[in-house]
Amino acid sequence: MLVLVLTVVVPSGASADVGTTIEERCVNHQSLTGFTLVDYRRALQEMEASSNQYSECFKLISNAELAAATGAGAGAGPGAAVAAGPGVSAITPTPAESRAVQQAAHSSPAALDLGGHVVLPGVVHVNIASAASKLPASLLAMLAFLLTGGTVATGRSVKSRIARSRQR
Amino acid sequence: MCNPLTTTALAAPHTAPRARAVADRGPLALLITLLLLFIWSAALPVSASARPDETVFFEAPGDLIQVSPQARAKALEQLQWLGVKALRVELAWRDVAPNPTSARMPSFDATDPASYAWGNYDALLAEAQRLKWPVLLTVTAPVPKWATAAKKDYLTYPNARDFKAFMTAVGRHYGSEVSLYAIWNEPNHPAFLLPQFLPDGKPASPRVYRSLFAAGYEGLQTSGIPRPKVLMGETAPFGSDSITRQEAKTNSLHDVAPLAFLREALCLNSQYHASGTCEELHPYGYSHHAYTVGSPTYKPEGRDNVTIGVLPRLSSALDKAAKAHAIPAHLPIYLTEFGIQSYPNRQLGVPQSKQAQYDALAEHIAWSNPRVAAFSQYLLHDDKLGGKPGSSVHGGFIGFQTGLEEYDGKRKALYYGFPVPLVVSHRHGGGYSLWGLVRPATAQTKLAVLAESSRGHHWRVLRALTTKTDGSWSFDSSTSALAWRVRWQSPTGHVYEGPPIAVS
Repeated sequence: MLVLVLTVVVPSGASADVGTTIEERCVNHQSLTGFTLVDYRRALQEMEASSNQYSECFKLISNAELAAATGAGAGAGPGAAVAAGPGVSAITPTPAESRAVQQAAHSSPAALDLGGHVVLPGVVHVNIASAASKLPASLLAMLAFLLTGGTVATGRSVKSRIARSRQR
Repeated sequence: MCNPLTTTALAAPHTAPRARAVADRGPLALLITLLLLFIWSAALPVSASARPDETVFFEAPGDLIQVSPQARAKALEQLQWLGVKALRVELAWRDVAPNPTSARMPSFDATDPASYAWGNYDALLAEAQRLKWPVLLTVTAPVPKWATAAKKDYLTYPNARDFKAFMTAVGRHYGSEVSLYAIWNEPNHPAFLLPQFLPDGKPASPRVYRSLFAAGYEGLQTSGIPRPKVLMGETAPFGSDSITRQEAKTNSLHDVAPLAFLREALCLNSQYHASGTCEELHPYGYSHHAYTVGSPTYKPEGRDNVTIGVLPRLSSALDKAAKAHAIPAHLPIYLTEFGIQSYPNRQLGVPQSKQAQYDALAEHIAWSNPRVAAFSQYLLHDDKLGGKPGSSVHGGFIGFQTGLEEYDGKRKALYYGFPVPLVVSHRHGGGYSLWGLVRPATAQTKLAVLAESSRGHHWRVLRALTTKTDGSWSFDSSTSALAWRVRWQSPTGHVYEGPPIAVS
């Protein structure tokens, strides 16, 4: 009898909860990758009104669905095997990406396309202009002031040393 | 005791070259000192400056409007205990208008307050006046069917001319009882205004709202208030800048992102440059509902979405709009609807202990931002759990679990935390910064901050202190603890003890 009651009460399976799982992952700011198109559609259909309209989740799950549909890496195709099951976000690299990583480890520093970004192995990719643009204006002004002041102070020091050496 | 080296240096003439060398380095030393001072000041936490001018609006429609006088009196008593000092009331046009379900407008003087059935709104505003609580009155949808373009629902293309007449009646009726008006609740949300998007996927609601705002403002002026204090916005926090044609055709549930809404309503392009011949509007402030998802520090991905964690996005947008002469400069921000969703909301809710912590943290963020003129708490009692997508648009509701009590009346940690909010955060360089507020206080008052020992289950007084005149307090501490809480005894002898609060 107890078994019968449990059979009736317990949900029919993990697939019935996948929509909820995706929604919960979204509101907890976790990755949405690794689900099938069907899963994303289920999540969008089952989404509660408050999550739909008082979070970004409808948009984010729609984006994940779109990415899955276009094979852009956010999910698997419809009905395809999920990379690591619901709730796990690992994405298997594409064969091209795997080859690129292997090549990067063993070959000369030729330019490689990794996930749409051109990478030169051995080169540190730092965008100084971008980094500087992210500094607060007040700090930039202070640095400019310091640089000017330092130049003036060094100039004075050199000038006075020259003057002193001439006096000797 | 004198430092012999210093004495020698000052007395002995032969040390002059060294002194000169030091003098040579003077500008550099000054610059380094300035730089160190700058870095030190930048590293300081945001100042918890006193904000005696900040209002906290409480909104509890389920406890204050559609209830019996006895239930309302009981709720108001609770609110007094909680330290509430101002109310936000949403006045639905349909609730008070004659024949609101009719497609045909009845024959009546729409500017005459006597034409309307103000019912429970009158009772609530009279109570607020008795308690000397300022009221923010947000006049909003649903609207009478006869006041819409197609006369088929209560939300689509409300007639601005009819709204102006209604606002004249509102101003005449509540002129002295309302401190601040706002036009429309969440006009970027499909539950309150339709359409949100045009068939081509571009936003539709902002321009509809602009005409309603202008009409409402003029209506209040016509009622005899020459310079009405009217808030613009009241926007919901999330949405899209545009949607696809397919989405526009099949789904009416999308909100317009609040900053996209702001730009469109003020006739500005995406660069905040004037894109039409719209005149400058004169709102008293810009109101927004900065709900978050989980922690108040959450930063939404969409750059036109605004939660409590990214308020500078809104300040910046308002400044750019002012630069384009669309609104006055330095418009204050009113956070007129806010709350942290908690369990039993399975999707958006956080554990109830976290709700108290996050709500205090959100209030501290608002308190520390000089641009913010008001904060708020939405709901005393939770709503029922919400419906499926579309329920709000199709006559249902969106259940909010932001209350201080669950739907069945069970008190949450926030019920005890709301009167004495407490924030504990890590200090740069070690230790903790503590900030709090004794909300019911009307003058300086004494309180105790308790700390739970690392071994747990043992609370001791960390510090007894006196608040500022506005009830706020803050101090730094190097004492580690598992949790902190506030204990305060009111002048009438009520003891308030907040819930245990963890470090944020």
